[in-house]
Amino acid sequence: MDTSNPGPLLLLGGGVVIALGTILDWGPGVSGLNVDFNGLFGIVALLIGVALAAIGGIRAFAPDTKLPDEIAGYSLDQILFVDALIVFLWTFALISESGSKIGLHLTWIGGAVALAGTVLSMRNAPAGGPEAPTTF
Amino acid sequence: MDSIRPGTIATLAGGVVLLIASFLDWQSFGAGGFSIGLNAWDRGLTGFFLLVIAGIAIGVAAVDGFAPQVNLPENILDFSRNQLVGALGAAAFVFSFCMLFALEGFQIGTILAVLASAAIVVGARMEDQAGAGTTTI
Repeated sequence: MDTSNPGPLLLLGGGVVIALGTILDWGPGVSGLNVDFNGLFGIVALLIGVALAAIGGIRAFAPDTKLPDEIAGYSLDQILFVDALIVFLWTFALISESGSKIGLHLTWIGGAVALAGTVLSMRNAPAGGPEAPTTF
Repeated sequence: MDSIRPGTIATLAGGVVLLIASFLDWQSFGAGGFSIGLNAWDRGLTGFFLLVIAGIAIGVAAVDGFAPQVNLPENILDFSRNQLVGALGAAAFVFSFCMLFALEGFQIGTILAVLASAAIVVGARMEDQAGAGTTTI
């Protein structure tokens, strides 16, 4: 495990906390997975959390596993950043609603941790490597 | 300003429509014979974040299309300027699309937000592929 780069561990931890948060209450008697008030957002957040945790875990504990460098022209780190941003941004937006519960708070905190993990991963990507910025 | 690229127009229009959509009804609840509409500004900071995303999309597209002499940062983190706009548009798209499935169905604001954020994503992608913000022509 590369201890010089905490990015994957933050991704793993953030993803687990997001997934955990979505199955807990977001409002009075309503879990994140309840589609009545937040539509599919809680389910999407759960899927994002699982994906972030899986990729963070692979990077931290099985770095030899080959992950795609790019998907549709975007680096994997860019895609993970956007995923973490989606969870953080909208759950943070919803916490100021009255009656927000522990699950919603855990989810935005997990999103913030995962976001920090993706930023650290971007900064620690080898210069000129597959995850370096694309210049045109 | 002899030729404004389609990507710029899509991003600009998407930003304006997203801004308007945030003030329209996203959800509607029936209560005691009355119907109560909720817009994005009734959902915590959702309206504010949509405003920020729309503002960034409008600002970047307006500078690219009408004031190219203005220097905006070309890269932020690993993202080019237009990739970042596209990322923010994607965030708005995912949230508004998810809200289509909320209780009592969706209202016009949700539909417009989905379309507007999709326009931002597509426009930013077109601009990125056209090399806007990274190449001086």
